[in-house]
Amino acid sequence: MFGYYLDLAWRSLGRNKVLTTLMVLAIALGIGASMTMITVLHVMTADPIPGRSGQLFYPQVDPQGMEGYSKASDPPDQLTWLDAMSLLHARKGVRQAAMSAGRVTVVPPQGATHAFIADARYATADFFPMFDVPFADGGGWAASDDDKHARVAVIARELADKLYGTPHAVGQLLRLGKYDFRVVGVLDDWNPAPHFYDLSMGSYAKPEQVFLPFETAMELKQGTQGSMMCWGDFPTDGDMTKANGCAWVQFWVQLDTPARVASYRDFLAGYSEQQKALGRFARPPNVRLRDVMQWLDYNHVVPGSVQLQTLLALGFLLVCLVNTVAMLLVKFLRRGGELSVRRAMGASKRAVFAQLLVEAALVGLAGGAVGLLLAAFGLWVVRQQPVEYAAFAHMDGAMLAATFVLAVCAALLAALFPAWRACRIVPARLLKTQ
Amino acid sequence: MRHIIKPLFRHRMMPLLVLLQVALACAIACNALFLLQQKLVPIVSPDGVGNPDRLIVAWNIAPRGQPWPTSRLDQVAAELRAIPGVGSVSVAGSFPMETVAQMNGGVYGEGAHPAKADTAVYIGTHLRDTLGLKLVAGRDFSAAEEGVSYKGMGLDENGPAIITRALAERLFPGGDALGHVLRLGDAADAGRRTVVGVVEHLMRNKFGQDDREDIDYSMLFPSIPTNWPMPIFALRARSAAEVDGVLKAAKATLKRELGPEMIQGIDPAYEMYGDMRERQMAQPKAAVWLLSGVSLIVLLVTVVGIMGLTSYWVQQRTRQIGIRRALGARRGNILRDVQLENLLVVGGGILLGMALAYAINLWLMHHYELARLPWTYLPYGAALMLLLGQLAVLSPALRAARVPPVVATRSV
Repeated sequence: MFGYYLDLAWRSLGRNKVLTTLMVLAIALGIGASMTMITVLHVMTADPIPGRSGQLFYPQVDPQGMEGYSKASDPPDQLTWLDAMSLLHARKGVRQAAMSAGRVTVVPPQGATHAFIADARYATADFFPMFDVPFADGGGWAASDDDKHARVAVIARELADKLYGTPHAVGQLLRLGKYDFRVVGVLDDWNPAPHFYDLSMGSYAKPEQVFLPFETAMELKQGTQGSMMCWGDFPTDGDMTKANGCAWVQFWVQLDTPARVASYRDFLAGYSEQQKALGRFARPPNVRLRDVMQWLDYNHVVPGSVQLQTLLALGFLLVCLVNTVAMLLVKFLRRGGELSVRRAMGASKRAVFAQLLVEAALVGLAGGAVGLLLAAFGLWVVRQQPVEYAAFAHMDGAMLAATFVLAVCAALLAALFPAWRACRIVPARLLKTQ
Repeated sequence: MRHIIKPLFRHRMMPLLVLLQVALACAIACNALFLLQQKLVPIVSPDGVGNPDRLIVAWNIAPRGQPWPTSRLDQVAAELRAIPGVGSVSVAGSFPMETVAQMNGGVYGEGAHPAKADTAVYIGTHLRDTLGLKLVAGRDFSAAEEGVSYKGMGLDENGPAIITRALAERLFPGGDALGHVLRLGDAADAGRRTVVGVVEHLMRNKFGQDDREDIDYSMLFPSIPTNWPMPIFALRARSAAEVDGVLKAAKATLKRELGPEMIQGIDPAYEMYGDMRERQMAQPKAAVWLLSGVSLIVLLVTVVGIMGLTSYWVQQRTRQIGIRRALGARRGNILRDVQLENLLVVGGGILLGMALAYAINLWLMHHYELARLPWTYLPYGAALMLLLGQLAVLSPALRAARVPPVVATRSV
């Protein structure tokens, strides 16, 4: 039966090629535009660390003075060095790590004249196991290395290849400026998008090339970078660990159960109370504890403009669908004679309805195929745009399937009303007039 | 009129579909065009900078270790000034179209209920000269004012300021701004700046949701911010022919003077101001293309839809049209009737569409900090839709008018 319907649909679509082309084009335009934006949104809202994102939390406390205080004000986006170290050494989570972006001068074995700048991350030991960072060689450093201010480093595979010609660089010496570090691990390819653990370097920043123990880097006065919020004195000698009036450290904690999350929240409030009693904090406890996806949402990692464009594209799809409804209606009603004959020969209303829907599904499939080409073109256009997420605008398997599902569903939805109308004709009346 | 309206209600489906299409297209196109107009503002607004093809900007100059003292920067500026063909040189902490370091903040006027404006501040020596801004009132900074040394960035210190005309009208409405004092923030100890000059235009470094007026809210402070880690040098060449020579000499001078003290691996950027502007405008321009493309296709799809539906409807009524022709209706009558019918249906669609456009705008305002859709959009949008509706109906209407009276005697 289905084969027969397909045959009928094929003949019918071939009869009025202009109308069929217009319908396919309308669906294709709507699908192309909306799939372009849905794909961009899909990429941007992707979980950067699947499986872990629900257990990783970003605590915020509020060490600012009373100036400009209101009950609704959010605490700073980052922690001061002092607070980060207090939370780190309290060890209230399963794992926890303090970190900051930095910049180092890499001196390659060829000599100082070939020195170059590389992005670095200063972090504490739990950074690697907590974020499930893959290693090509070796591993991260131990918490004792943090305490000893050990001169060890983890480098990215790209840098290892560049410096030593091999990813197996454990034990090699890495010279950064005046200081030597021992390589203890080489990362495998790792590029979480968005760059969730430090959004201040750009939501889609590239992963760092050099990782150093945080306290070692501070002791050696390696330069930090990224955003910094200051309300108090800024140290003039460049020693950021003394910047008590500046928040510039990111801190992540892993909490496995809801109970631990609740108790960590209490701990943060208690810590704020205690600091207030000591006179360091001025404000009443003002703490936040967000998981990865909440943190991305809070920081508007998906810009409003992308959401707006997606809405616009969906509105566009709606316009195209209403248009398809109109064209299908015209098409089906024009075939009143043919449908009446089928009804008079004994086809049930349901059979006619099914036949018309098969025809619409065929249009949808064709629209989906053309729409896919348009979406590929649309994504190419997005990649040419001067936006930081541009490089990530690619279609994946799920989106490819979604394109056809959306196209066929849209066409079927558009066909429901016209097909129902076309089924309602009274065969006798139409046959008599012919 | 009756013979046009009545059939519309008897066969509701076709007119209803046309109406729905028009309403949707109207709602979406209105909002898309409104967004487009907002993106267009920074592109079409004057930025106040004279002869942008003669202005060379050197930025991304990062000192190794401590920031350079202002005296050192002044000395380098003097070296640059000595380059033949250079008109004026500026050392600045923030600069138009340079968004690495932005200084933006709320600025207040005078009185018990002062006006507030979100303003960009550009701090640097000889900025008015170098940017080529047109002074419409007051004076430029004096040599003494340019030589003042700040304790910090200068944002919270008292002194003189040159502001734009738009900002003057906003902060000191209905009067001369010269000699008045503005406050930098709402704190009691906020810096106070006396307005000494007013310039025609100067675009602010914040392209988000600017509309025509507040895109010009900016002001100049004299002298160089102290302890500023990212100084910017700007040079204005005397003539376009001398630009290349000046650029070459400026590169050499900066490399010689500051090169050894810069962070290795971070190279200074030398750009023409016009190119910097182009770069900043790339994103709004891309959005303009996108939005105009979407609006155009929405309208096109709608026109095709109206055309298809109307021709089917005309075809359905061939016999009635034939009867009317046989009864004495002229071709013109039929043509006008079909057109009038379209006018009514599209008009209904526009009314619904406008309400929908407003509702969408309200919802967007609530969720995305968007401005209110100005009502002046509505008549323009309505006129455009009516015109498009008439365009779409022209060919079916002509076909209807060509129906010969003899059709009335045949059965279809």
